[in-house]
Amino acid sequence: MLDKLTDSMQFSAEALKLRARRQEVLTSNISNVDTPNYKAIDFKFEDALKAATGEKGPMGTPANPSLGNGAGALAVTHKGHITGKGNAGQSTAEMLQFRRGNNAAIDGNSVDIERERAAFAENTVKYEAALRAINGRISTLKQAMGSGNQ
Amino acid sequence: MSLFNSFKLAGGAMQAQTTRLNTVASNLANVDTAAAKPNEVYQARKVVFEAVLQKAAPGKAALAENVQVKDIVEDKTEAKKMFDPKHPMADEDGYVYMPNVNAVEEMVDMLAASRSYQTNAEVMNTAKQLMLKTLNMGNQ
Repeated sequence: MLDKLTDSMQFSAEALKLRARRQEVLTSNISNVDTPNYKAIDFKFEDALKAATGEKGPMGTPANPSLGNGAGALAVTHKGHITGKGNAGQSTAEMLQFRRGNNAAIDGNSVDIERERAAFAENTVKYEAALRAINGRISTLKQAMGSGNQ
Repeated sequence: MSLFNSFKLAGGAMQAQTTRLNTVASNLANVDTAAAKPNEVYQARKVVFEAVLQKAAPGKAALAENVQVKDIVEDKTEAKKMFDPKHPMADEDGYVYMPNVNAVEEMVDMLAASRSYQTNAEVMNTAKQLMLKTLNMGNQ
């Protein structure tokens, strides 16, 4: 029962974790705007989220049942075994890519500060959105738990 | 918690930009420091930044974990030779040597450093606000 309650929050939690990670990546770009030979980096949020949640939909139901728990799940060979989630797919460190389409300046730096600032602002809002989704879920659960006492 | 790394990163960048600003101040302060010999004259200084990258496979994209000043290099262009026989530092031919500092260039560098500093301060502030909101999770 309790794992069903937390499962529904798992998706938002993963999204929040990846938003925090992307915030760090964008900070890396912004703080290296004057560093010679630094190349701007980023990762594809959608792909990273798919890898982290094993393609689960927002309500905890697998979008593709055959991928259910992701590639890193434990094998179940006995009915007493628990499945475990594992760390499905690639980690975000492996998904980091150099940003394309930017021409490097004469010092070899390819950070476009306007673009990075815009991405940073966007990511901040989306982080708060993920946080709000979790908060909404928590308050729904709290309300459901307390309804008998009134 | 990856948001904590943002503090270190933005803080390191702010420190590096402060060093750059100090260098600009040094250059501007010495813009009129004359010398009697060409090898004694003040030379403009420039900072070179360096990113400390996290470990990754060679050729792969890696995240920076800090920004630091790698080196402060001196501008090797020739000193300005000025004919001024009345100057106390003038040599026997009446010449004094002035630093190769370009005041306009230094002012531009100063503005760029201050803007980068501001940007990093904003990044740090945003990270702080996000973390405080995260701490408040479930308390609404």
